Parts: sequence; structure tokens; C-alpha cells
Amino acid sequence: MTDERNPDRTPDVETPDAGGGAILIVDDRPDKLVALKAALGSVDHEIILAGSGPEALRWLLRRDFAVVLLDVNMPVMDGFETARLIRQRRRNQHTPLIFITSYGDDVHAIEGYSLGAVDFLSAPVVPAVLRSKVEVFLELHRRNLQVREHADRLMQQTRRLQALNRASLEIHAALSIAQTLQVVADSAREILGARQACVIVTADQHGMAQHELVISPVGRVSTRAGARSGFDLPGVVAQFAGRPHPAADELASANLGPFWTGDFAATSRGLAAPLIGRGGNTIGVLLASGRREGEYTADEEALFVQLAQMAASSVENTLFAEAREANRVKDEFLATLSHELRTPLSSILGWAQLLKTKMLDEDETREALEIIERNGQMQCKLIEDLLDVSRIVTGKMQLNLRPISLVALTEAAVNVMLPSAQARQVQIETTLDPRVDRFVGDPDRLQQVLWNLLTNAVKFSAPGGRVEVSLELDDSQVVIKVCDHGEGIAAEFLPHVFDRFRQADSSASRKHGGLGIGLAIVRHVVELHGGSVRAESEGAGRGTTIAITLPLPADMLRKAPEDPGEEPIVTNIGRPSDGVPLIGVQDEVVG
Amino acid sequence: MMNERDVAKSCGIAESAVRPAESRAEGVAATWRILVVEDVPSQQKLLVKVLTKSGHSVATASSGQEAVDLVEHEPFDIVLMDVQMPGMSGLDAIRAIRTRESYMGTHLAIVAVTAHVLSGDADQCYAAGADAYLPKPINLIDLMAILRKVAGAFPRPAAE
Repeated sequence: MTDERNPDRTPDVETPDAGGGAILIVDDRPDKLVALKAALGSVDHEIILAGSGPEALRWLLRRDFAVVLLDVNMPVMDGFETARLIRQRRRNQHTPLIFITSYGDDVHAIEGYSLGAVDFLSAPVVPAVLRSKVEVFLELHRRNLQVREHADRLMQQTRRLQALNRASLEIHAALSIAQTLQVVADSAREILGARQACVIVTADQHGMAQHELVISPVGRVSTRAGARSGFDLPGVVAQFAGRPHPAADELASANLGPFWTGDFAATSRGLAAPLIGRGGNTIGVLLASGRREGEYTADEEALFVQLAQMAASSVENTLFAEAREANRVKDEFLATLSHELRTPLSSILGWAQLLKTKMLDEDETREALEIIERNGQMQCKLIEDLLDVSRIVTGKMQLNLRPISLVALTEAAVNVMLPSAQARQVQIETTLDPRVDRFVGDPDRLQQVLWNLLTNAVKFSAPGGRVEVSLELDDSQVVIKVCDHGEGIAAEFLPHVFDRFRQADSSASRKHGGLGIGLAIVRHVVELHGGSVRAESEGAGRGTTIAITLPLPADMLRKAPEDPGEEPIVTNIGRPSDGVPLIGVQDEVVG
Repeated sequence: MMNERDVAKSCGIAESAVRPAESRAEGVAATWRILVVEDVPSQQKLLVKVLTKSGHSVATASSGQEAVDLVEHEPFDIVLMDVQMPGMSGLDAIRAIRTRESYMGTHLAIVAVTAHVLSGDADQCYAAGADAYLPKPINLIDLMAILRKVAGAFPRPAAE
């Protein structure tokens, strides 16, 4: 069934004869049908004959006619009734109807005109008169079609410009390169009506290398596994950047991994437009597969090229902004690093200088040495962390895998943290599921992960607070959670907590020291173990949970415990009790 | 027992670093009332020790706000102000003190003591109103030299 309300539908779809316009003749008498057809003989148009009103209506449902010749006097459904039904259909409201009547009387004529008849012919019909009248309507029909086509073209162009405009707004609002590219690829595909479109970026500017592949309608494709899985982004860019009209099969076989299929069935050539940077260098390419009907028009190609240009300038702007942000973070980190290294150094050198004067008594001397040692250790930890970051950046961190006991490891880490937790009157509660005890990992690195998490949890807890450490089994995965009820993380910083050098507060009035690399190390070590880490916080002041998920090899999984003795062990340690001497580490924060 | 001068000499520290300060004009030991503002305990303790051993009288504060409150109620010759502290930073504390002084017509000698030593950091301290800037790690000789300088330049007005 047709749908007149859909403005997108083009008339071509339903009316294959749109160019010429057919003539429908309706009469119940076959001899008259033949006579009328013969009378129109020299008219160069398709003529359809219908033997009744209902048959005529069926034809009109199927296609458009330039003019309908309608016999008034027919059994069952006469010409007027047929006309009324024709007019009820919106699409045929303006189809020219010519009544053929043998009465020639005025009453009929008035009824006919009221039903929208454009003319009357009295039988017997004079062929020349019939032809000339019909030709007028054929000509009118042809003009109408032209106007409609023109309007359709304008409408299509408007829609394309609107799509381009929308794309431009969305590109401006896009927060990342991937998001920008998605808008570009989607818009290109939508505007062209292509099966697939994609944008490839291979930019290496301002010290920021960015290789991206976004396919519409698939999305962003990770090409990290690159060489192995048949991605060759620079190759594809070089292949198509200078060739605006690549063949469909060539496009379809581009080395863009499994998600790019192009469109082998396309009959038209595809489109390719390079992404050109400000310096005139090619930073990528926009591709669209060919169409299944008709070639792309010059208008469409112009819009496509414009999209590519928009993508190029947006990518460059984003890269520039990212480079600036990376620089800012690096500068900030260097300032923090300088400060964090100097603070313990100042204590070490100052106390050493004071020791040299021999003005300190025995107790003071011992205290001075303790301070020097503690600050030396702090610096040592800072340097170790820095080296770890360097290993992470250069990809040189290696794991020393051994069978280990996660329960023992966690308990050991908690025990190390106890003095500083007690000093801050923070209680550490552990819930360890013995089923997840056995694991293969790097004990030192995992210990470091737990220390970093516990240090943060204690550091950000208020005095009297509680930190919960749990070791759980979830499917075939180990989940280690460290949860505190302290300062929490603001929603806007949450996505950055695992970024190296990032700190929520790096101002001169910040409460906590540290370099902002502890969690970056945590993430890297966990990922090296094949696991993942995520941070949850309901916001500033509402506590933080860091959850580490480590895949457990199947053979590491103990049989499900049958005796109740294997219930999770809950212990409460670290509760500050009366008379427990607090160890003096409230001085500098360990992190 | 070796005297201080010998010890200091043998250790390569200028004698004046740890010797009770002297007023050059009168040739007698001057003792100052000094406020040490520092949140890191080992640093605070170090400064207190050095200054008391040099014969000065020392008060301490662990935050900017504490320092601002203290100087309002107690007369000091010199304030040693750490910059990075939780809550109110040292720079904010200096600004607060200077703002109040602008109504009182007084000027307290303030030395910014900080591990922020990159370009621009000293300027920030001066802009906030510090009279001198002492980078960490602190060299005790420099510390004493700066104390003498600022105490001489901005002497505490005689008690009325």
C-alpha cells in the first residue's frame, strides 16, 4: 500500500511511466474501448484499457495516469461513482478526468463538473477533438512532472545541506576525535545513501600520534592489533587520497579489517576525499562505498569533500588541544615532582647540617637520624614509582609470574599498612574468600598494587574512618575491592583517576602529597595480569571503591566448598585500641 | 668542649649560621620572635631546632589560617611561611596578613620558604607580599642570612 504522507518517497518508485504519462480508458463496452484506443492511435503514449469502474480503480492504485477517459454510462459502478471514488484518494485528487457521455445533457454535465471532471466529450467522439484534448492533458502532465522533479531535487538538496549543517554542529560539539569522526562517517553515509562510509586518520602532529578508523554504521574500530589483523591505515590513506572515484571492488577490498565490507554489489563508483591538514599534508581519508542505483552527482561529491575538510580541521584542532593539555599535565607533573622530591630532601639536608654542628643531644641526634632515614625512604619510594612510570611508558615493565596465595598477599599488604592506618585512626576490615586463594601472578607487583590502593584509601579517609578490603570470586574471576568512605572522587575527575600524572587537586592548598602515579601503576600492573580495574565513587565526600578484576585460570578454581568451614573469613584488624602505641608515621604521607 | 665556632668551621658551615644573632650596631646578641609556619612535621621541627639553638624564640603554626590568627594576636619579628599547605596556602596567608596591614600601617617581615622552585614561583611569592624567598632544600647559612636581612629591613616597632 502506498503512503501519501511520506514526503521522502519519490514518484519514480511507483510510476515507471513517469516520463510519458499513460492514458486510462474506462468503458464497459469492449468495442468502444477499441474505438477510443484507435482514435488516439497517433498519440505516442501507453494506453491502458479498463472494462469497469473497479478495474479502473485498481489500475489507479498501481500507477499514475496523465489523463483518464471515463464512460459515464456503465453498469454496477457508473462513471460518476467511479470518479467520486477516484477523487477520494488524495493522490488522484488532481488526475484529469474526461467524461464521455452519449446524453450530452446539462444535469449530467453539472454532476460531472462537481466531481472534478475537467471536460466532457459526447459520443460518438470525434477522433481529432479527442486527440487534441488528450494531448493538452498529456503536456500538462509532463510539465507537472518536471516541476515535481525539480521540487524533489531542491528538497533533496535542502535535506543534504541540512544534514551537512547538522554534521557541522555535531562536529563542533564532539569532545574527542573518535566522536568527530563518527559524526563525519555517519553524515557521509546518510547524505549519500551509501551502504558504508569510513574515516581514517593517520595524524602525527604536535607530538601526538593518532591513528583512528571509524566505520559507519559500525563505529570506532580498534586497530591496535594492526599488522596481524589486516589493518593498514597509512596504506589505505595513500591508496585513496589522490583518487576521488575509486571502483567499488577496489574500495571493498581495502585493508581496513573485518568490519569494512564496502559494497561489492554497488554499481556506481565510490567516493574518496583526503583529509588535508593546514600545512597541506594528508592526515587521513574519507571513503564511501558506491551506490546501487545511479552515480553520485557533482552536488553530492561537493558535500562529501566538504565533510572531509570539516573532519580535517576538527581533527587538527582536537590534536592541538590534546597536545596542549598533555603539555600542561606534564608541566604540572614536573612542578609537583620537583616539590615532592625537595620536601624530603629539605628535611634530610637540614637535619644533616644540624647534626654536623654537634649541637644536638643524644635524643635529638637519634630523632634527627630517624627523620633523615624516613625521608630518605620516602624519596626512594618516589624514585621507584618514577622508574615504574618510565617502565610503563616504554613498555618495559615485566612480570615475574609465580604461583601465589592471594589471601596471604592481601593480608601481608594490610599488615604493612596497619601502622599508618592506626596513626590516622582508620580501621581496615578484610573479607577474604578462601576459594580464590591460588593464583599465578607477580607477588611483588600485586603487593605494590594493594599498597597503592590501601595507601590511597587510608590517605583519603577521615580519622575514625573505615577501609574495607575484599577478595571475592565472580564467575571465573577474582575481584579485589578496596573501599573507603572518605573524600570520594568528583564525577568529572573519575574518568582520569588512572591517568598518569593526573591529580584531582594540584593546587598549593591541596591536602595530599604524591605524584599522581600510584593508580596509573595499579592499572598497568593489573592489565599486565590480563585484568581490569575500575573506580567508583558517588562523588566528592562519598567514598571511593576501586575494584580489580583478575581472570582466574580454570585449573586455579577450587571445587566449590561443601563444608561450611570454607565460608569467607571476616576479620577486623587495625581497630585502634587503647594502649597501642601509635607509630609515628603521621609525619609524611607514604604515597 | 669545642666551641660553636670551631664546630661550625670544621663542618663547613658559617659560624653565624648557628650562632645567636648579633646586632651589628650594638654588638649584643639580638633575639627575634619568629613564627614558623610549616605543615610537614620534620621540617617544622628542624626550623624550630635551628632557630631556638640560635637563641631565638619560636612559635609554630601548621596552616595558613593558624598563622593569620597568630600574627593578629602576637607580635613577631619574622614569619617563615611555607607555601604549600592544606586549607589556606602560604600565599593566601601572606595576602591575608598584608591586607590587614594595609589598614594598620604596619609591616611584618615574611620569608616564603618553599619547595616550589621553578621559574615564576619566586615571583608569585613576592607578588603575594613576601619580603624574601628561600627555596627548599633549606641551606641553614642562607636561612640565617635572610633572617638578618629582613629583620634589619623591617624591624618590629618598639612596643608602645
